[in-house]
Amino acid sequence: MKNEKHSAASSEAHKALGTIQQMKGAAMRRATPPRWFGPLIALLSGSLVSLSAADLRQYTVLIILLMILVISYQRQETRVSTIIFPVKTAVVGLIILVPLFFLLIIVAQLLRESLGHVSASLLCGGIFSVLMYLLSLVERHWYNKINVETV
Amino acid sequence: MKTYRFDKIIHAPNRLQICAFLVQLEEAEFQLLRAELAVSDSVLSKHIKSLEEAGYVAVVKRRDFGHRRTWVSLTSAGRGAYTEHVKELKRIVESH
Repeated sequence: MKNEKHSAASSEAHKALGTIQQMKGAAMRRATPPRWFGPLIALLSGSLVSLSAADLRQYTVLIILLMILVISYQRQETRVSTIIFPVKTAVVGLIILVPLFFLLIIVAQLLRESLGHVSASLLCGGIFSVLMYLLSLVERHWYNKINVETV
Repeated sequence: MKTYRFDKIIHAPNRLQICAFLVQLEEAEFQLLRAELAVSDSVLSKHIKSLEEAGYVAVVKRRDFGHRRTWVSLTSAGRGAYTEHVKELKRIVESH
């Protein structure tokens, strides 16, 4: 009798764990950003570097507003917001990205003499865009990995 | 063997699904949760109310892009209770 009770509890717990895995997988599928999101954010971030390096800072506000709009729209589309990255990873990412952003602006200004005003700004903006795009690919890979683990 | 807290509020199938869906998210929209659980609005509202009364979820209504939407998130108490509950389920399965 006691054994039967234990067996029923174990089977119920097993079933519950299965449901949990299924729902976690569903959440991660929903949370995966659409394919256009990474390249668009990368492009906008690169534009931010290019405009700042080209002394067109008055237009950076527009790019920032556009980025906020894109992020909000993406959130409305997926109808979830995630905490997929551990706080430590996010902090390390910011510590690397923020100085890199300013470093590229300085590099672009230093390269003006040799490459020209427009080319130097575009080159450094392009480098930042590529880095951001690579980061978005890492993020997508992260989501896919969790999807595989939870299914 | 260490035992964890088996939570009767969380263990109800739909409520367990809600917590499992929300645990890796910051928040999710009510209608999305309803679609994932394949339940009616009233059933989901009832379960969310139970979880809210227990302090496990927080509900916020916001107007986004002209649409009034309800967002649900797990509170830290909810995350704690859910984690304990899952550990207890694993212990039950492993002990048998």
